[in-house]
Amino acid sequence: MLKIDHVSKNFGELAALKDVSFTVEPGQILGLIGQNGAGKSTLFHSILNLFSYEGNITWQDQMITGSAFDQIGYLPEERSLLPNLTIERQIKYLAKLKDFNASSSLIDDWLKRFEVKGDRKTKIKLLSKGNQQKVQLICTLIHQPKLIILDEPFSGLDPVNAELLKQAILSAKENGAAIIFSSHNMANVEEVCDQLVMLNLGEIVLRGNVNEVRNQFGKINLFVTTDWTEQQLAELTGVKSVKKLLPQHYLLKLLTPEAGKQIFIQLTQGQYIEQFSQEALSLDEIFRMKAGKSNE
Amino acid sequence: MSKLWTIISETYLRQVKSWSFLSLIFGPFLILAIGMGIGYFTASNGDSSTAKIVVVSSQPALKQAFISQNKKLKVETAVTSSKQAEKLTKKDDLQGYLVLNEKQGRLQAEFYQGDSDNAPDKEDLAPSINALQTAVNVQQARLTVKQVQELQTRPQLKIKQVTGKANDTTIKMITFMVVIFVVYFVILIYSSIMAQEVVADKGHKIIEIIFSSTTPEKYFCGKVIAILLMIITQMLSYIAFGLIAWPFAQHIKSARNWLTANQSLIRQILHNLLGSAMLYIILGVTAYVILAAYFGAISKSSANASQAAQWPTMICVVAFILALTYATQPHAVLVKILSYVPLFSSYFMPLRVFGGNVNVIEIMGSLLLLMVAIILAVYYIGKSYGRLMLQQDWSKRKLSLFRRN
Repeated sequence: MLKIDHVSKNFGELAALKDVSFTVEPGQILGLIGQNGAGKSTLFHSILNLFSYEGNITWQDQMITGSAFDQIGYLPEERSLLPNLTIERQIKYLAKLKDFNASSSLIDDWLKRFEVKGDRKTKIKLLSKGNQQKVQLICTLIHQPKLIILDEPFSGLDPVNAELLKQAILSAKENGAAIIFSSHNMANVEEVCDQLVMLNLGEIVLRGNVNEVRNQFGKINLFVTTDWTEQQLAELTGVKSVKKLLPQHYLLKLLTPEAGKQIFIQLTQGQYIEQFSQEALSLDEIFRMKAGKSNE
Repeated sequence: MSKLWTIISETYLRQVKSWSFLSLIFGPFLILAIGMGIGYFTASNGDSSTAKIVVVSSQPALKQAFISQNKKLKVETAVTSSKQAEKLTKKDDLQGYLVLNEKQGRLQAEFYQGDSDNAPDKEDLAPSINALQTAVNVQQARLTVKQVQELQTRPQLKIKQVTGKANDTTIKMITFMVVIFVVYFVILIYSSIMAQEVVADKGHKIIEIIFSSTTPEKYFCGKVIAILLMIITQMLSYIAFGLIAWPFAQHIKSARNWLTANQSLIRQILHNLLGSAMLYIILGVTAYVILAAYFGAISKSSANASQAAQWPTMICVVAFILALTYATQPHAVLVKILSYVPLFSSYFMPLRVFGGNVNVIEIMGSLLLLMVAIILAVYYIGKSYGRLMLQQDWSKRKLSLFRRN
C-alpha cells in the first residue's frame, strides 16, 4: 500500500503541498486531478523521494529508498527519452536501472502490444511523438512495477492509443499494482479510476470513490428532449439554468435533486417524452466547480 | 553495483561512440599521417635520386668511369655537348650538367646546376668524383692491390653517450613539459565533456526517471568513473598506436634516424611518465572532472555547457601558467605549497619530482591529499547532486505558481 501521510512541501515561502494524506491499495487506481500548478507533480516527486518534504510517504510500510525504487514505474509529464539511442537500448538501459533484464523478445512483445511504428533498432529520434510516448510507457511498465506513477499519461495520445494505454493500466491493476495517475481528461479518470483526489493550491479539496464523489453533489443535471422552448423550461420551478445542447435537446441545472419529480410531471403532463434523464454532475463539472470556488 | 555498472557502461559507450571522441582519438593520428604524407611528398620532390644530368667530357673513358661509379644520379648519355646540355637545363629537361676532365692526374669538375628542387648538389656528386680521383691516384702511384686495400682501411669510430647532469636536467625538463601539457589538454577536453554530459542531463526529464531508479550519488559516481574510463581509453589508444607504429617507423629512414638519435631521451621520458606522474595525471584530471560536473549541475541554463566548464578551465589555465613560470624553480616556496594543493598538485608535484627536491613521503602525502579531496568532493557533490540537477524544475514550478496566483 502507498501511504501519503500529512505531507507538506514548501518552496521558500510558497506552500506547494499542504498536509496531503491518502492511500492507494494494491490493485487500485487513484486519479490525481487538479489545475496546472496544483501540486500534482510535486506530490509525485515527493513519492519518488526526489526532494525532502514534511510528513511520511511509505510503500508497503517502508520508506521509498534502495530496492523499493525497483518496484516503481514512473512516467514523467514530459517525454524524456535519449533521442540518439535505439528503442531497444533505451528500454534496456532504464530496465537495468530497475534491476530488470529486458530481453529482446520481451521488448518485441511490448512494441507489438502498443503497436509502436518501428522496430527495436529504430532510433528514438526517428519516432513520432505519439510513438515516443508509447516507448516511454513501455519503459515505465516493462519491469512489472508494483507501484505505477503516471504523470499525464494520456497527453499526446490519440483515442486509439489512449485506449491501448487504458487497457495496459487495467491489466497492471489486475496484476495487483497500485496505480496513481494525474490527468486533465476527466473522462479517462472517470472510466479508469477507483478513487480520486483533487488538489488545488497544494491542498486536497475532494477525495473518495469516483461514484461517491459524483453522488455527493446529487443528481442535478437533467437532460430533456422536448418541444418546450428554452424560456418555458427556465420558468419551471426548481430550475437553476437551461442550456440548449441541440435543437429540442436541453440540459437543465436543478436547484435540488428533488425538483426533478415536479418538473417531470409538469413537462410530460401524462404525455410521451423522448428523453428525461436525471444524472449526477460529471467529474469535469465538479472539477471546474471546485477549482472555481477555490480560486475565488 | 549492477546499477552503477549500468550507468558507467551506458555513459561510456554513448561517449566513445560519439564523433567528438572518435575525432579526439584519431585526430592526432590523422594529423600525424597528413604530416608524414606531406613530408614524404616534399622529400620525394626534393630527392636528387630522380635527377637527370648530363656528363660532358673530352675523355670518354673518364665519362664512362663516372657513369659506372655513380649509382645515384640518372645520366643522360645522348647529350654530348655543353651547349646542348645548357639548353636542356634551362628548359628544366635536365637538372644540371657536369663538365669533367682530367689534367695531370687531377680531376677538374664543374657542375652547372639547374633551378629545380631536386637538382643534385655538391654532396650528391662528390662521392663519385672522389672515388674517381682515388682510382686515378692509385693508377698514378702504381700501387699493388694489397697496398690499395691497406690504404682503404678505415678507422673504427664508435660514439657512446655519457649522460651527465646537464643532460639529465634537460630530460627531466622535457618530461615535465610533456606532463603539464598532457594534464592541461586532458583537463580541458574532459572537463568540457563532463560539463556537457551533466548539463545535457539537467535539461532532460530523463533525470527524474533515473533518480526514481537509483540514487543521485550512485549516478554521479557512475558518470565520473565513465569519464575516467574514457581518459584511460584515450591513453591506451595512444600506447597501442605507439606499439603498432614502432615496427613501421623502423622502416622509414627519417623516423628511424630520429628514434635512434633520441632513444635515450624517449626511454627516460617514458620512464618518468609511467611513474608518479601518471598517477598525478589521472587523479588531477579526476578532480577537475568532478569540479566540472559540479559547475554543470549548478548551471542555470541547460543550453550553456561552455559556461559550466568555465571555472575548472580557468583554474586549470592559472595552474598551467604558474607551472610554466616556475618550471625552472622547483625549489620555490610557492611551488612547494601548491604541490600539496589539490587541483594544483598535478602540475607542481611532478615539477618537484623532476627537480629532484622531494622525497617519497612528500609525494605520498600530496597524493593522499589529492585522493582525500576527490573522495570528499564525490561525497558532498554526490549528496547534493540530485537537488542541484532538479533545481531548474523547481524554479520553473515556483514561477508558474506565482504567475497563476
